[in-house]
Amino acid sequence: MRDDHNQFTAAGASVIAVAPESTAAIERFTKAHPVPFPIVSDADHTVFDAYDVVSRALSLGQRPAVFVLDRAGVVRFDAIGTQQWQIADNETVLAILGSLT
Amino acid sequence: MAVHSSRATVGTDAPRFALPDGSGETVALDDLLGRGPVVLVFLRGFA
Repeated sequence: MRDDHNQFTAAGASVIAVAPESTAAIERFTKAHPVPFPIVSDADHTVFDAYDVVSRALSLGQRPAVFVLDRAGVVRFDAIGTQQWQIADNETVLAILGSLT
Repeated sequence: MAVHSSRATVGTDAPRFALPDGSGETVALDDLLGRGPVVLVFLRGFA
């Protein structure tokens, strides 16, 4: 994800990551693993719930997911994995971005 | 923090949010959308 950030920004997109962690945990993480996009704290899972990321999962815990939003804020693509390796590959995301005007 | 709209599926308006990053600075989805499309990633916990 980090390595492909430049491709996403080259496609005109912003990247934001939501984590079910406190701001302090995120600060520790980003100090150890700097990333070129914001990671925001959704410690109470409000946004996870709003995007149905937790409840679509069949088992416990938060699942990785990717959404692509067009500039109007409409969801154009979503992928909710049940394992880390099941989230959408970056080529898919880039293709969606390329289809947006 | 407020979340508007209902569950996000393709073709629906994405729920808006504004959340703090690791430095405590609020990042608003609407601000990012003002610059163009957004790739929104949900991470597992770090633990």
